[in-house]
This record gives sequence, structure tokens and C-alpha cells, in this order.
Amino acid sequence: MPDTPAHSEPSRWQRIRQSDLALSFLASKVTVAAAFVAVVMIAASVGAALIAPHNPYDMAAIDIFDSMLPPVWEDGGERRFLLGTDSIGRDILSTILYGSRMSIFIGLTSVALSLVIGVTLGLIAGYRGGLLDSIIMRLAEVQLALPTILVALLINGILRAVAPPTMVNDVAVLVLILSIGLSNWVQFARAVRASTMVERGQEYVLAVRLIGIGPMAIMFRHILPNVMGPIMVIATLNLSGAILTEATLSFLGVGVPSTRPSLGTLINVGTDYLFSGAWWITIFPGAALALLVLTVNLVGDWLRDALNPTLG
Amino acid sequence: MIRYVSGRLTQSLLVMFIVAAVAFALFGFVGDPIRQMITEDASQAEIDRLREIMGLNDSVPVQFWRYISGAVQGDFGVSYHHKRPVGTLIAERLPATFELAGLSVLLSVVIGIPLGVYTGLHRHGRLARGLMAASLVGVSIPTFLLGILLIYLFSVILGWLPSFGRGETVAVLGGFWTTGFLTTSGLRSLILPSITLALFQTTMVMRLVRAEMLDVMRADYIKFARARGLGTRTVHFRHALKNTLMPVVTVIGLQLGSVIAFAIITESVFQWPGMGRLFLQSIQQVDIPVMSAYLIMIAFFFVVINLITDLAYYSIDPRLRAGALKGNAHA
Repeated sequence: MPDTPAHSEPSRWQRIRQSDLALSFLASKVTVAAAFVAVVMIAASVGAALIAPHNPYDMAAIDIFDSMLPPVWEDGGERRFLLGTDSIGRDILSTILYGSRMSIFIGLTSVALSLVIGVTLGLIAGYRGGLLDSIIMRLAEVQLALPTILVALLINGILRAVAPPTMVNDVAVLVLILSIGLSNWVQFARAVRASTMVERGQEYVLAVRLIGIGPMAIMFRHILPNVMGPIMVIATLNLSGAILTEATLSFLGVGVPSTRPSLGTLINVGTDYLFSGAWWITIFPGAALALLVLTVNLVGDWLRDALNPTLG
Repeated sequence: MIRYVSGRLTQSLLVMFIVAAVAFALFGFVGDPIRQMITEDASQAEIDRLREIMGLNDSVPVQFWRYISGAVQGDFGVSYHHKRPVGTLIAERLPATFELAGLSVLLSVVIGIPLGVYTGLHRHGRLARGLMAASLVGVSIPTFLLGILLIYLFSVILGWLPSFGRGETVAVLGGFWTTGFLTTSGLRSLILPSITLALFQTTMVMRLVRAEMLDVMRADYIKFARARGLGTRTVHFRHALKNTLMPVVTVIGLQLGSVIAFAIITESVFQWPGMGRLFLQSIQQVDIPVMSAYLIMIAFFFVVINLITDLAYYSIDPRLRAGALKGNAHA
């Protein structure tokens, strides 16, 4: 770096810039572009309340006479609604921003849930071994044999059957997070178990055992920090999957209700108007979803290659 | 050999037993089956009588045994919503799902393997790179979105192909099976759903064959085949491709189950009258008997496919027979 002072200690920012990870990131133009798009989309959806030109949840602000307006560049489009409006006059751009917020929120929380479950079970299975290990891993195998979407649908169906019928819409988000989170823990558990079994034999573990520290503290305070590397890669790769699963469940009509829609709900509602030529109600949320998933996928792929060259 | 086969069989039976237990627990304990069947003004005596008729007063093991022995004979109870036997409902919808899934797997093999070979051999070529990028986009487009795009393009704008249903079907095999392969409208109706369902599998087969080709082409025996002066064509197809096909066959076998599961989404987009749509409606309507039956059916497909794949592997790969391998055949 020409602008780096030769004598002083490198600052933290410079050390980050000089790290292998940062160099590999900056060398891949596609990843930089994908990360940029993903960050912009996530930031825009988090700040939806500030950025969105309209509030799609505010029923008083919606005018039914504005319904089914095409995007601004088509005949009949209005400048107030850049990407057009839906059947009840909501601005499509605003519903996409609020919808992405819902999709990303459910995606992140369900990945976090899978991570907590998977890491805990993986640590226990790897550290304890024996019967507990066999039970957890058999369970993982059975679940891994079934596709995520099917497991999520089943858990969703069971939770719906248990919840009182009047409350189904209120708990829909919670049901979604639980069903996606519970169907994705296996990958985390397997990775953590494998690295825990290696760490268990290390001298530092023996040392902390000798000074009388309990198994829980050993697992979570001493082994966990050493097995976190692959977990972050799996979490990133799973995020796009979780967002997709959420969208699919909502599209299938067992996700979030249309009053507080996610991207999947918007696409589902929009398909009813496809045949009348109002393509923008479906296509724009669909494009937003595909772009979000693609960019998160690209970043995840790069992270996997950069942190673990053997996986290629 | 016998030990291996019987070990795998025991494992499969155990999985089926666990799934049946889950399905039974759903069937018996989630929601009160009586409340789903009676009217508001039923008296307590009527409810008690119904409980007795349905055997809900028996002990749990007795009920479980009755559920399993019924399920083995195709009796999964009566749907709450349709008021018809679940076995009949599924049998009516089985052909639709199987024809769709079968055609999709065929498509993904016919398209995916040649593309995989090509991208594997011309790793740095422009077209191969373009194909790889396209496959990543293909994986990122959700199945249902692809279906919607296809409907919009080919049904709404161009008006070439139907957007929903199976078209006209013909009953064959003594009315047991209805097929859409024998009529023009049936075939036309199959095109869009099968492409939708096949896309994900196609990209997966392509990536897998590519990775295997890259691996195999580095192997010593390929170098020796070249050194022996064999033609490029022979080396690529007779020596390289043949050795990549083993894992590909396994994965395609294992994917067959996922295709049936992914058909839920495709069937929903195209209003395809298959099992997946029945299952989805049963979730929306909390129709527990249908849910349980579907769960058992899908688990059964998975177990049978897994078993066949494992046994096929065992008979194809001599290394498995020689080694002291325990249980798991995925070496």
C-alpha cells in the first residue's frame, strides 16, 4: 500500500485491510458487487419505515382509486408510484421494502434458532459421545433424508393443528420461524460434532478438566470458540435457504398473512392478477426475492471457498 | 452379503416404525378427532358412542397396532375434509404426481449430464463459465417463481400452453392408473410443470457431473489411456464419463424422493391434481388423517429408494464387498 506510513504500527483498520480474507474479497469482483447489492437491500429493508415512499400498513393512507396502476414508464403510470400499485392501491415499491424486511427478519431469526439448536446438540454429541451421540445423530440422519421444505411443512402443519384456530394469524410469524429453524439444525450439528471430537482430545481441554471445570463450561466456554469458524460459513449459506423456504411457505399460503406480507405472500397474492395483465404485482417482488437470494448465495459461496480451500 | 442386506433392511424398518409412530401420534393426539366429525348439538351420549365405535377408548398400544395394520393395507382412515377414505384420495392422485416427477427426473438427466460433461471438459471456456453462472442463477430462482414466469410467458403472453391442470387423461391398466401421456392436451399440460420441477435437479446433476469429471480427468488411468494413444472421444466418454456415473446414479436415486416433495410447490403453482396438492390442502384445513398418510407414504418412498440405491451400490462397487464396511455404504 503506497499510502501506508512505513514506521508506525498498522492500525486495526489497516490490519483488516491487509488480512488474507479482505484481500481475497477485494480480488473477487463478483463477490464485491454481490455483497454491495445484498447490503443495500438489507439496509433498505431495515430502514423501510424511513425510505419507503408510502406506508402499506396504514389503511387510512391507501386510496382504492389508486389500485392496479402500472409502473411509471408504462401508459397510465403515475410518478407517485414508481413500480405501480396492487389491487387495493398499495405502492409496490413500499410493499417490497416492508416485505423484504419481514423475509429477512424471519430468515435471520430462523437461522439463529437452527444455529443454537445445532451447535448445542453438536457439542453434546461430540463431547459426550456414547448413547446420546447415537440418538442425536440417528435423528439427524432421518431428518437429513427428508427435504427441508417437507419437514418445515410438517412442523408448520402440526403447530397449526395445536394452535387455536382464532390465533393462527397472530402466531404465523412464530410458527414460520419455528418450522424453518427446526428443519435446518442438522448441518450445524454435524459440523460442530466433527470439530468437537477433534478438540476433545486437545491438551487445553485436558488441562481445564484437570482443574475441575464442569462439562457445560468446557463445552461452551472453551471448545465452542474453537469450532465457530465453519459455523459462520454454514450460517451464511443457510440464510439464503431460509429466506427461500420462508418465501415458499408463504407462497403456498401457510406463511405470513397478507396483512403483514413477506415477499412470498406478495408473490402469492400477485399471481391472481397475472392473467389480467397486471404483471408488476408479482414480477417485482419476485425479482427482489431472486436478487436477494442470489447475492447472499454468492457471498456465502465466496466465504466457503475463502475460509476452507479444501471444499472447493 | 446377507448380513449387509439384513442390516440395511432392519434399519429401514426402524425408520418406517419411527415415522409411523410420529404419524400415529399426530393422528391420535393432535386435535380431537371426535370434534372434527360431529355437529355442534351432539349429545354427550352420542360422543361417547362414537368414541367407542372409533376405538378411542382402547389403550395406546392397541390403537397404534390398529393404525399400523390398517396403514399396511392402505387404510389410513377417513379425511375430515373430503369425508372419503384417505387411501382412495391418495390412489386417485398418485398417477398425476408420478408422471410429473418421472418426466422431470428424465429431463434433468438428459439435459444435466451432457451439460456437466461439457463444462467439466472445457473448464475455462467461455460457454462453460456462462453455463456455470446460469446454473447459480437457476438455483437462486425459487421453484414457484420460475413456474409463474413460465405461465406468464407461455400462457398469458404467447398463449401457447395451458397454465393449469392435467388436460385430458386416459384411464389405463383397468382404470387403476390415469395417464396424460396419451392425449395431446395431456402432453401439452405436462410441459410447463415438468420444466419447472426439473430446473433445480438439472443444475444439480450438471454441477455434480462437472465436479466428478474434473476429478476423474486428473486420475492416472486417464493419463495412461492418453499415453496409450486412445482418441480423445474414447478417453472422455468410455473412460472418464463411465467412472463419474456411479455417484451420479446414487444422487439421482436419492433425489427422486426430493422431486416428489418439491412437486408440492409445482403442483400448487399449476393446480396439478396430485398428492402434493392434497397434502398442502390438508395442512391448510388441518386435515390430520391426510397429513399422517402423506407422511407415511413419503417416508416409504424415501426408505425404499435409499435401500435400492444402497444395494445397487453394493452390487456395482466391488470395494464395498471386500472391505469390512459397517452399515454405511457411502464410502
